[in-house]
Amino acid sequence: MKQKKYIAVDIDDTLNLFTEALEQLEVNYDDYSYLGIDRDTFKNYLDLIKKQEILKKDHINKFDRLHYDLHKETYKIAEVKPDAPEFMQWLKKQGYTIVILTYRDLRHCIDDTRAWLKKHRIPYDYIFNTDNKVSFCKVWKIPILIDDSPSNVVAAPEFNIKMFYPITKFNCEIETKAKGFTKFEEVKQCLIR
Amino acid sequence: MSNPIDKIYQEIISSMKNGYSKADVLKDFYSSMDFSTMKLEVKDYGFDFLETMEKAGIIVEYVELKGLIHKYKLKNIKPVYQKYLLEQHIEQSGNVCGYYHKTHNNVFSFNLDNSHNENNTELTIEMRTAVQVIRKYLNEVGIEPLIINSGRGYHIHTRLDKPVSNEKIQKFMISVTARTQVTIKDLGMDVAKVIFNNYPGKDTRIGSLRLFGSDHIKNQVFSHVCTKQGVLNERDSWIYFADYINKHTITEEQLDKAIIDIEDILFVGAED
Repeated sequence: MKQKKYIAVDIDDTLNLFTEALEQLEVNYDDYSYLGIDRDTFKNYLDLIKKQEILKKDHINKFDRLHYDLHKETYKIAEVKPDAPEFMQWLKKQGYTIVILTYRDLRHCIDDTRAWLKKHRIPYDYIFNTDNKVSFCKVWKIPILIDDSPSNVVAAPEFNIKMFYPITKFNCEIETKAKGFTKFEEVKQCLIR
Repeated sequence: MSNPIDKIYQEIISSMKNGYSKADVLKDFYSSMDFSTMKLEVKDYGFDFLETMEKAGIIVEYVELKGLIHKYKLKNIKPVYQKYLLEQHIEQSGNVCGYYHKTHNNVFSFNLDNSHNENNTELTIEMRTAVQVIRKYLNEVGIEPLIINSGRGYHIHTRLDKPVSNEKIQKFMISVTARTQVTIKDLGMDVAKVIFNNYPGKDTRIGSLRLFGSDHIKNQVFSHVCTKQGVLNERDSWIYFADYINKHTITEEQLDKAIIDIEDILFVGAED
């Protein structure tokens, strides 16, 4: 029997240009008046969210809502990386079971996420959410992870997970055994080998 | 003279022998829920597990891994598997969380959770006050809620004899929630320590609520019923739950009256 092959692939800043879209997102204070935040606080918090200098777990209540709402808008508008669909289609043709593995809160954005993947003809088998992707891959015995998160870039090789990461401003200075890449073709060649 | 609780228990046992099971009680209570969609919280995982569900025709919408708990949002569950999953829920092999109907519901529920900054299982003074205040406001307008210990707070349910529009339900719930939050604040407490989520919410696809009758998947605490006299054990919780359907279900007219009456009630402090 042919052995099944599994791979986990992140979406934001891996398949799409999330950070770029978030930075360019036009935000009108009046559209968020329902949060009851004064204009200065809103501006300060917006800057932190756009720079991704604050973690989701640090948020409380109304700021948490702002974070969710801005990210949800960004999921819809983020551009796909030009070579991502072809690479994902190649993975499927090679017989991989593809798990989309994301930090997104899928309760709120599953429909937008599916619509975006469909729009860009990105094949997948399952969509999973977790706060700990490395642990998830170990538990589910997924040997390959493609993800940009700096913490995963460091941790994945230590847990014997073959890790590929798109090089970004957040992870470019990390020393790691994981393989950084700028084009999906590089990942493809490694997987062929 | 026999204990009235035992008498009710015997009646329930008798009806169960006639084919009326705990799963049937759950289906009666949450009668407007569409159990073809559920969120399942279990410790089972793996691609074989997913394939087993898919072979049964179940669609796995998505999976969440929180700690060691896997949560599967499932769609297209056939009645035979709905029954199986509800039985697993009752046997404590996993939790079933139900989704409220998108337009009309026969149950509405206040879900009170400790805020993320708090120890999840500790019942804070704010939490205890919130549940007392909600009970008081509901009692003032003629509703006896069913209060269940959720493991990290409370589920406060009201049952209607037929599905009522979400718009009407939400109008009432918002009014009760706002009054409760103001009351907590007036008592000098930090209202942010309690998270209020109302079901049905604005988007019923987002939130699901664990059904009565199971252990909390993380801390193994049963969903005990809390009455004015105290917290009931598991057996008596089931009795109270089944009996609640007959004794405390309200009509739409009663809800209409409650919507008007709640506006006339002065903000009150919590009782000890």
